[in-house]
Amino acid sequence: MSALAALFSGGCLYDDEHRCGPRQHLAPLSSCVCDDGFVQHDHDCVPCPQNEMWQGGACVCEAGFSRAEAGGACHQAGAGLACEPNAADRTCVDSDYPQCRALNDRVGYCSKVCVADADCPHGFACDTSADPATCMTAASGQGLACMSDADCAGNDADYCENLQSNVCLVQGCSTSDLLSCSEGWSCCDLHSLGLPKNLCVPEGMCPTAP
Amino acid sequence: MSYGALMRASSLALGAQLGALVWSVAFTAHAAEPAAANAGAAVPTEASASDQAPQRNDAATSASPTPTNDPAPPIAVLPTANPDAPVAAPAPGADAGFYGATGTDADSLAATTYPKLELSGFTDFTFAANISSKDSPLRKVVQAYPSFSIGNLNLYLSASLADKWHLLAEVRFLYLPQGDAPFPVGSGQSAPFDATASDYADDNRPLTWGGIQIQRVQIDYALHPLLSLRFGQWLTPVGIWNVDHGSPVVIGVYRPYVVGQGIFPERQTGIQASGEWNGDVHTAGYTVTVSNGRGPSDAYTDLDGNKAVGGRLYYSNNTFGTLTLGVSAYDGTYSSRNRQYDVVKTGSGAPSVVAVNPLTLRYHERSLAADARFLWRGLVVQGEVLQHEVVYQNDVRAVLNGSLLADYRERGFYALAGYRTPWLGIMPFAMYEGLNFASAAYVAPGNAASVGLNIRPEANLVLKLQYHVTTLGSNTSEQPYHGVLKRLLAQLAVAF
Repeated sequence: MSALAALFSGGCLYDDEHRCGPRQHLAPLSSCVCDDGFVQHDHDCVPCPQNEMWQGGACVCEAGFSRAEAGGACHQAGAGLACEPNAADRTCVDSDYPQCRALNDRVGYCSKVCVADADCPHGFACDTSADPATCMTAASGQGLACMSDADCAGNDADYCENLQSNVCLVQGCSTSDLLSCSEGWSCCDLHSLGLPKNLCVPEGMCPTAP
Repeated sequence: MSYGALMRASSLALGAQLGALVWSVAFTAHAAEPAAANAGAAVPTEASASDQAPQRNDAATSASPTPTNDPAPPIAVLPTANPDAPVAAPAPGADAGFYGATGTDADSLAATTYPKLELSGFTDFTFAANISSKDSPLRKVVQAYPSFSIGNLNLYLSASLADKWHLLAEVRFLYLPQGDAPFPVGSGQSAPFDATASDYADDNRPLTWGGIQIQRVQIDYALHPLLSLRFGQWLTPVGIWNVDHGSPVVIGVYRPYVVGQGIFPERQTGIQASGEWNGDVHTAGYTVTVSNGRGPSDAYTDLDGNKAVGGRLYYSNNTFGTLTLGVSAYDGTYSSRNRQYDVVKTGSGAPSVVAVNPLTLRYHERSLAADARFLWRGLVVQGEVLQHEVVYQNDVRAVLNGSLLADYRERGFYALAGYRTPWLGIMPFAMYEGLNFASAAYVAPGNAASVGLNIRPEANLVLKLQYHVTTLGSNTSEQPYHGVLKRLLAQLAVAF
């Protein structure tokens, strides 16, 4: 009934001044193009998705991000980013670090083939025991002897554990993230021991509360 | 009022009231609106069924032809049901003799009591040649190669089902889709459709198949001259040449651009209510429609919850000649959806289907039209003006060639004048038309002028010759489809 009423009310549906939808403007050949800051997605204009920015009518990856394939999502680029070793699709989008180095069947990180440590970026070392040799995580300064934090300054391992082992350790890791510590190291929550920190310690060496 | 008059009034009011240039009420019944066939024989006329209404011929009291001002000879009397037949007898299946050995008796019984199927139809044979200048962009775009064709082969199936009940179906037989190559959008090419199959009944020799288009299937119930109901799929009651669309009744070779542009849905599926009041010289009628509206499968599915509504009002006066004025309107929503189901787990852990069916296109449309026609002796002057507004839902706008399409308002008109002379039924005619082609983003607004002859040497046979010049935009138009299109058209259209 409302449609019938509208039909005979004489009201116009069409507004010559507003022929396009929100975030759109009229273009030649009666087409609607997206306003700056928006891009066409299917039948609508939408803002750029996460990790992307609008540039000249298209969405491009923000700095530090790249696409594995045209039209794909932008993922953070670089070595050490999480990947899926057995995924059908390539998950390492950075062409400089295309190899997914596996920590286990499900978790790995992006790396590349190397010959020596010099081929690897900061925080990585060349694992020549692997075939092919690839860069493996190796936080700088990790395990160096120290007496205070000053001895560890400038390294990735910038915390001096001076209660027991007196070595430089990486602090601020996550116990739920296998990649937050270098290979062979694991994240240890020391809050229960009265030290309000998470530290990367050699695997199997995380002390437990008495 | 007799059954014949009632049926006739109902059929006139229900559908044929929009018919143009029909040769007679009976011809309308025969070639374009068989529902009116019960009216009996008649003489060809340029008037539509609705225009004939004020002077309509009550078949119950007279079998003489409808008065006409057309000098052309009458068409043959059509097979019709007895207009005064009683209420229909039980279905044939109830009488074993109907199919049994006592065929003579059964046939006799069936002839007088059972619904009878009547067949009629029309076809046309056309020659079209594009004679545009070689520098016209349209020279090789529209009918680039002079061609002969059979355009329509439409068959009507009509039956009186019972007292006040009538069935009409119309199907068109097509050569399509064989050989059809859609117009490329912008640059590009499209390959013609290949509908060749191996004919297993002929040693697997190649066979080219064609399609069938159901034009309408409608069941009418004539409750009262002021109220009749129509159920099914019907041609939209708008203007002059949408319901009466048969090529023998259209004066030119093709209907005007604006009539075939889809400004109103050509057909809808739903219910019509209509009626007609007749005075001495005045006739007025109405039609109200409720339908699925437009959609990709609107003949059997409404993909939204909004029923489309529409209607038509018309008035006719016979004081001097016959002047008919009509207005039509339509309001509906087009929706298209993909079918998508997801499976989710319910609270009990059992899987359950959830239908998503996302919209892929939706627009609200409103159409308005007005038409006028004046008939006096052999003279016919008629015109229509139509408007179509389309407003898309923003997140599901139409996309053409990758671009979102803007809302639009399409407008067009035509005006036609002709005079049927007494000599061989020759009618010189001229037509001027215009359309902004707003629904076709790549086509420039245009107008067209044409002159021609509509010759009807026999009542059910029409020969048309037409020179048609269309001007789309100018050389500076942004739309790639622009230029001057000149065509020579000839057509032989027959009703059978």
